[in-house]
Amino acid sequence: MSEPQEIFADLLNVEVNTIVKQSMTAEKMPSMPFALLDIIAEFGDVLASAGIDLRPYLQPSREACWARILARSKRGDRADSDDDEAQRDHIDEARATYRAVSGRDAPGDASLAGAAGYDAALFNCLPDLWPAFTGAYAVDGAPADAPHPIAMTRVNNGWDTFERLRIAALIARPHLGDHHQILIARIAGSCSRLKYIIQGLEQRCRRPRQNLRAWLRLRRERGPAYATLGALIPKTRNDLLNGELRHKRIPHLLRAEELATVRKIWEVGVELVLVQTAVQIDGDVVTRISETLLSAEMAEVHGLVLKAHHENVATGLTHWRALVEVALELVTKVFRRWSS
Amino acid sequence: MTASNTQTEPGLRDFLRELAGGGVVLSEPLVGLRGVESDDPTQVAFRTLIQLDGDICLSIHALALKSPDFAAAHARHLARVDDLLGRRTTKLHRSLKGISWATGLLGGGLVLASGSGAGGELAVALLPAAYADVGITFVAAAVALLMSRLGRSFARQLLRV
Repeated sequence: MSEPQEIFADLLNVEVNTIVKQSMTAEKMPSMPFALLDIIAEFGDVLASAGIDLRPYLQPSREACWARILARSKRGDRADSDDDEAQRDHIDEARATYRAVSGRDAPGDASLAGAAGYDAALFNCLPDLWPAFTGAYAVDGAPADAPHPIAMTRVNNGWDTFERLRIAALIARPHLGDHHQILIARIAGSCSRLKYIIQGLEQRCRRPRQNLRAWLRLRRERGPAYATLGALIPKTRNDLLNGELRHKRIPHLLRAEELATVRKIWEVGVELVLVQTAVQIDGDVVTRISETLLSAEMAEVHGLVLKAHHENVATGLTHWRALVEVALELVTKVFRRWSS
Repeated sequence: MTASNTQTEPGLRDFLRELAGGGVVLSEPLVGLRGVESDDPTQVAFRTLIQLDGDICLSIHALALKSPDFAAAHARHLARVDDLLGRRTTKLHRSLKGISWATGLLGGGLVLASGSGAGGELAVALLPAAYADVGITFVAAAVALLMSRLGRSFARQLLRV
C-alpha cells in the first residue's frame, strides 16, 4: 500500500496529451500483471512489424542470459573486450545492488561458479542485460522485409522482458527509417521505465520483513487471500490464467507513482501523440505538436484537435490547482501533524 | 452509451481508488454522433484519462473528428469531466477536513476527560500527587498516538491504493 503523501508526489508538472485513434473502447486497464503483458504484446507487435526479429532476444531463458553474462564477466573464460560493456562487470554491480537491497552478503565467486542454475535474486539485481546480446552473443539488428510476429505464449511479464525489448529496439534503431524513429524511441523509453519499476518490485520482495512496522500495520483481511508476487511476476498469460489466481485477489504491488506510469504507458501505447502540453509549477509551458497534425491529410481537422487540446489544458490546469490545494491541506493539516 | 457510461457514478471511495490506482477514465459513446457510420456500441468518441498527479490524456476517435457534432460532443464530454472532477475534489477537501477535525476533537476530548474528569481522579487516586500530572501526560500521549493511528488508518483506507 502506498503512503498517501506519495500519491501527490508528482505535482510539480502537469502534462496533457491528445491522441487520435482509429479504434477505441471504454475498457479499463486490467490488473497490473495482465496490463504488463498487454504492453509487451503491443510493443512487440510494433517492433515485429518494423521487421525486427525478436526471437533471439526473447527466447533465451533467464538462466541462459545469466550464463552469458557470467561468461562475459571477469570470471568467464570467454570474456571479450571488444566493446564498452566488457569494461563493466555486471556481476559485481549485481552483487553490490543485492547487498544494498537485501542487507545480506551476495553469493561469492566460488558459489556462483559452482552453481548449476542461477541465483534469481542476484539476476534481479543486474543493471541490464546488454552483455547477453552483444559481443560474442551479438544479434544481427538489421530488420527483415517480412515481419516476424511474436508468440506471446512463452513471453512473461518480468522486468527482463522489457529489457530485452529495449535492447532489441536500440540495436535495430540505426537500421530503421525516419518514420520508425519516434515510435522506437518511445518504446525504448517506456521499456526502460517499466524495467526499472518491475525490477524494483522483484527486488523489494527479497527485502527482509520489517516486523515492527508490519505489526503496527496489521489488519484483518476479509475475503479471498491475496496472490503472492511470485505467482504474478514473472508469468506468462497462460500461467496467470491457468493457476489458482482467479480465486485470489490481486494485491496492489506498485507505489502510486509507479502505477500511474504503468497506467499512462498502457493508455497511450504506441499511438502517436498529436499535441502535448507540459506545464511546470514554475510557470514554464511547453507545447509540442506532431508533424502529422500539420500534414495535408489532417488539414481539415487540425483546428478541431488543437481546440479540443486547448480546452483540455484548461481543464487539466483547474484540476491540477485543486489537487495542489488538497495536497497542501493533506500534508500540512493531517500527516505532518501526525508524523511530528 | 457504453458500458462505463451506463454504470452509476462511482462513490468517492471508488473514485479515489481508481484515481490513486492509476487514473480514472471517462468516455462518451461514438454511436449517435451525426455523420458517424458506426453501430458498434463498444466504440467511444472520447476517452479521457485523468491521473492523480494532474496529467490528462485525451483520446479522440478518428471517426468522431469527421462528425459535424464534434465540437458540441466534445464540449459535453468536457463538461462531464469538469463536473465530476470539481465535485469529487470538493468532497475530498471536505473529507480531509472532517478527518482532521474529528481526530482532533476526539483526542482533545479524551485528554481533557483524563485530566479533569474521571480519568484525572483515577490518576490522583492511583498515583502519588507528585506523579499525577506525569501520569496524565503519559495517558495524553498514548491517546494522541492512538488517535493518530486511527486517523491515519482511516485516511489510508480512504485513499487506499
